[in-house]
Amino acid sequence: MKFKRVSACLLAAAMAATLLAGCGSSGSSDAASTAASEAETSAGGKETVTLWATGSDNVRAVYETLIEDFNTNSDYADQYQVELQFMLSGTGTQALTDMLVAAAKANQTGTDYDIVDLSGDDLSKIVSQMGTEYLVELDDSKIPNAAGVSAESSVAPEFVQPFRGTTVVLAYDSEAVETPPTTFEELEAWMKENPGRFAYNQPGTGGAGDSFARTTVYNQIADESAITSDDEAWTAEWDAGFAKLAELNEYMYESGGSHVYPAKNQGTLDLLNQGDIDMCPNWADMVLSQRAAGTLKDTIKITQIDPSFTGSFQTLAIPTFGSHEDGAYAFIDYMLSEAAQTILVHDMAAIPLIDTTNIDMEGYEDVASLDTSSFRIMSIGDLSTSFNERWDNEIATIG
Amino acid sequence: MSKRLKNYLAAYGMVLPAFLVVMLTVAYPIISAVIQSFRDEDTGEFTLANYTYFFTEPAQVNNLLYTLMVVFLTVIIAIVIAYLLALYLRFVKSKIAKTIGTLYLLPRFVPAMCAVYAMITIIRDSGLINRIGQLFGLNITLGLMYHASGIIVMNLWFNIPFAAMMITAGLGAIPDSIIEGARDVGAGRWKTFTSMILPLSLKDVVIASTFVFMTNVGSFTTPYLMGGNAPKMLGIALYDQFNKYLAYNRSAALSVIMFLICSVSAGVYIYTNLNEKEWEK
Amino acid sequence: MSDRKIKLQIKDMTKFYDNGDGVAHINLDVYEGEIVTFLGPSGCGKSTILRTLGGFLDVTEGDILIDGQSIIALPPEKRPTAMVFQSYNLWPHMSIYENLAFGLKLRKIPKSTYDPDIKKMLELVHMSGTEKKYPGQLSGGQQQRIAIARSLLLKPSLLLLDEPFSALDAKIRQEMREELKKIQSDLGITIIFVTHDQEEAMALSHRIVVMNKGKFDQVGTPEEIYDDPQTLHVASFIGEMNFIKRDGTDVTVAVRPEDLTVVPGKDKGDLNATVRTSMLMGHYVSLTAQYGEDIIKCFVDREVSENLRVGDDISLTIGKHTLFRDGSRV
Repeated sequence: MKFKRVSACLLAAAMAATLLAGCGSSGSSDAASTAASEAETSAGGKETVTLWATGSDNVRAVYETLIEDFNTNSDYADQYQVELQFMLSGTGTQALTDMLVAAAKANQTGTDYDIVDLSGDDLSKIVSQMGTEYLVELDDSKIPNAAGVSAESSVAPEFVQPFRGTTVVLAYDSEAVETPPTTFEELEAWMKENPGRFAYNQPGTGGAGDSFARTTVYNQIADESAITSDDEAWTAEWDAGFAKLAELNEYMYESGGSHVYPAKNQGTLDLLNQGDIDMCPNWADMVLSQRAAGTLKDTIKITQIDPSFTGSFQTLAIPTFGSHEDGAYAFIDYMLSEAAQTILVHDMAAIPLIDTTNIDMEGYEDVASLDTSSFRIMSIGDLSTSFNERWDNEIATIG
Repeated sequence: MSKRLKNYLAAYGMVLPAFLVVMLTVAYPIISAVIQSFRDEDTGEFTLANYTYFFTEPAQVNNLLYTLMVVFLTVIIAIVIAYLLALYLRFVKSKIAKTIGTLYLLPRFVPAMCAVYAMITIIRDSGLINRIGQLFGLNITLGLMYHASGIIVMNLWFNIPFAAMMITAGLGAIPDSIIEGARDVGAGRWKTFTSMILPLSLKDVVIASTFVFMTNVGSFTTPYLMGGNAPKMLGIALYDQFNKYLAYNRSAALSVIMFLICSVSAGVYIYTNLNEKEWEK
Repeated sequence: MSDRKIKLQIKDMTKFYDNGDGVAHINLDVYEGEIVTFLGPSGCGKSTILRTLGGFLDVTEGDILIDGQSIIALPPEKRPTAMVFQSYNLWPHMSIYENLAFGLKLRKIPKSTYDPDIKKMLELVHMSGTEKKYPGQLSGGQQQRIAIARSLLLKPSLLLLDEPFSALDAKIRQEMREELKKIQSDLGITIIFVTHDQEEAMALSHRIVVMNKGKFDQVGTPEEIYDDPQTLHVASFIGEMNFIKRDGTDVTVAVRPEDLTVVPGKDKGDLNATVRTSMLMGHYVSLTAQYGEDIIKCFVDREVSENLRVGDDISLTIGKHTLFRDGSRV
C-alpha cells in the first residue's frame, strides 16, 4: 500500500511536470561552441569550415545543395570543405544568436563558428548585444565576386555580406482580382470593397505578417529613418498605425464568427490557395517556389505596392572567434558566384544580387522584376517584441 | 532488523532509481522555473508581478478562462462519447462492434500534425464538407476553424479513443453475471446501468477524465493551427511569452500556473487511486 | 400425481446458437414444490435451458410457460424467476444488506416491510450479522448463501440455480446442499437446479433430467435413474456400473457392484473370475475381479472377503441388471 502510494505520487508528478520541463532551458546553450577545432582537417587534407545557419527546412535544403556544389565543383573545392550546422526555426529560434553572444561574452577563441548566416532581427540583436567587435570587418579584396554587388545591409554593412534578397509582396489570385492595387491606399480601398477576402498572418509567427503590420504602422510615421531604429522612443509614435490596423480589422478574413489572423506565412498562403481569401502579403520566394513546385495554383500572382512592404537581404558574417577566416571568405565569395546565385534562384526563388545576364531566369521572370535597389529594409531590433505584444493585446483581441 | 523494515527498505530501494531520475529531469527544472517565476525580469529581485500579470491583464484572464472552458468541454464531451462507445463495445456482440473494437484506437497512431491538417482540410469553410454540400447546392460553412469549437472537435479526435480504451478496460472487468444478476432481480436496462455499471466503472471514468484534462491544459499544436487569435489557449500564450515576447520570467510564472491547474487534476487522480472504497479493500 | 399443479411447462423448445450448437425439441413439465435437476457433462445444453428460463437467452422455437403464462416475450427483470449463478453473483460495491434490499426496493416494497424479511432470511441461511459487510469480505460459501437468500427474498415462482456450489469445497458443498433442501421444503418453492455432479443431483432432486449432447436421455426420480437407466450413457454417468459383454452377442449387461454376489471357488455362479484387488471401505469391501480382459467391481461383505486372497478363483452371480444393445435398452 505504501509502495503503491509512492509510485502513484511519482507518476502523477512526472505527468504534470512534463509541462514545465520544456520551459526551463532558455539561455545557456554553449555546448557546441566550446569544441575548438584547431587544425582539424578532413581526409583529403582539406580544411573544414563550419557554417551555422537557421531557418525553415527549405533553407536547409538549399544550403545542402550549395555546400555540395562548393565542395565538389567550386574553385575552392581543393582547399576547403564546408560543413553545415543547421538549426530549424521554431525549435528554438533564439538559440543561434544566444550561442554566439554566449561565446563572445566568454571570450572564447578558435571555436567552429567560422561563418554565420545572420540577417534581419537576428543580426540587429547580435549587434546590439555584443557590438560589431566580434565580427570580422570584411575585406572586399578577399571577395572578388562582391565587386558587382550593390546591395548593402542596413545594419553593420561593413561586417556582413548580402548574398540573396527576398521581399514581402502582395500575393493575389488573378482570377478574383483583375487589377491588383498599386498603392497602400488602393489596397485599403480594395479591402473595404471586399470585406473578408484579405488576411495577414499574426505578427510574430511569420515575416509576411510582421511586414504588413509594421509597414502599416510605420507608413503613419513621417520620418522614414524610424524603420531602421531600435530606439524605444519610436514606440510612442505607433498609436496612429495601430489605430489603422484596428480600423482594418473588420475587413479581414472571418471564420467562426470572428476576424482571424492565421498563424505562419503558410497559413495565409493556404487560405489564398483554397480560395478562402483573394489576397495576402507573403514572401516572394515562398509564393514563387511553391507555384513552381505546383503546390500553389498558377493563377496566384505577386505584385509590389507603394510604399512597398519590407524586403531583406540574407547576409553572412565571420565571427572573430571562429577558426577558418580564409575558408570563410572563400565560401562567401562562392555564394556570389553565378553558379551559387543560379542555385538560389532555382531552388528557392531568391532574388539574385549579381548581374543576371548569365543566369537562366526562365520561369522566374517575376523574381527579376523585383528591384533590390528599391528594397525597403526594416530593422527595429528588440522593438519587434513589444510591437508583437501590443498587436496581440490590441488587434488580436478585437475579434 | 525486523521483517517489516526490510520490506520497507526493499520497496523504497526499488523506487529509488526512478525517483532520482525524476528528481534530476523533472524536479530540478520545476524548482528552477518556480524560482525564476518570482524574479523580476530586469533586477532579478523577488516579485509577484509575473503572477499578477496573468490574473489582472484582461487578455490573459480571458486566455485562462478560455482554456478552462475548452478543456472542460473537451473532457465532458470526450468522456460521454467514450463511455457510450465503451458501452457499445462491451455489450454489443456484433460484427460491426468487433470491427469498431479493433479500429477505434487507430487515431492514436496518426501523428498529431497529420491529424490536425487532415481535420482542417475537412472542416474548414472551403473544405471537404463544404465541397460535398456544394454538390447539392448547399453552401455549408461550419465556422469551426479559428474557433473554440474547432479545437474541441480536434481534441475529441485525440481523446475519445484514449478515454474509450481506459473505460473499456474498466467495463471489461465487470462480469456478465453482475449485470444478469441485476436484470434477474428486476432491474431494467437503465436501472442496471445506474446502479451496477456506472458505480463499478466510475473510477475508470474519473481517471480517464483527469488524463484528458491534463493532456489538454497544455495543448499546443491544435490551438496553434486551428485556434483564433484571441483569446488563446495557455499553451499558445506560453509560447507567445517565451518565443515572441522573450519574457522568460513571465513564461516561468505561466508554467507554474499551468502546473497548478494540472495538479488539481493530478490530485483527483491520486485521491481516486489511493482512497479505496471499503468494498475495494 | 395428476392432481399436482404444473409450475413450469417447456413446450417443444429449441434454442440454437449461431454456431449451430444448442438444444432441440425440449419438452418438460415441472410441478409446484419440486426440485428438478438438469444433470450432464459440460456442453450438454443444461445451462442453455436454464438461461432460456431466466430470460438471458431467447428461444429459437417453442414456448415456456410458468403458471400457464408464456414468458418467452418477457425480459429477465419481468420474469417471475430468480437465478443464482455459479460465482461472482453478488454486487461487489454494495453491502450485504444493500444486495438483499436491491430487488425489494425495485418492487417499491417499503423498508418497514422488507427489513424484517431480510433479517429473517439472513437467519435462515445462517448469515445474521453480516449486513454491513461487503461481498469481498465473505468466503465463497457465505457469498452463495447470500446469493440464495437474495433470490429467495423476491419470492420467485421458480428458483434457478446454475451450478451454484461448484466453486466450493467438498465439505461446504455438502452442507449447502442439505441447507438448500431444507429451505426448499420449508418454503415449498419450485427449484430448477443445474449440475454436472451426479452425487449432488441424487442428493437434492425430486426428479433428475439426465442430458447428453443437447438431448434428454432420461427423466425420472433418482431411484428410477439409478435402478433403471434407459441408456448406456445414463447407466455409465450415474453411480458405479460394470459393463459385461455377453459372449457371442452384441448385448452388454450393466450391473452395479452391489448387485453381484461373490462366492469362493469356480463354477458356482454365472461367471468365473479371479480376485485382483481388495479394498476395505468401512462396513463393506470393494473388490475387483479379473474376468477375461475385463475388470469387474463388486461390493462384498467383510466376512466373505476375509476368506479371499489375491489370485483366488471366485464365482460371480449377476443379480439385478439391465441389458443394452447399441447404447439403448433391450
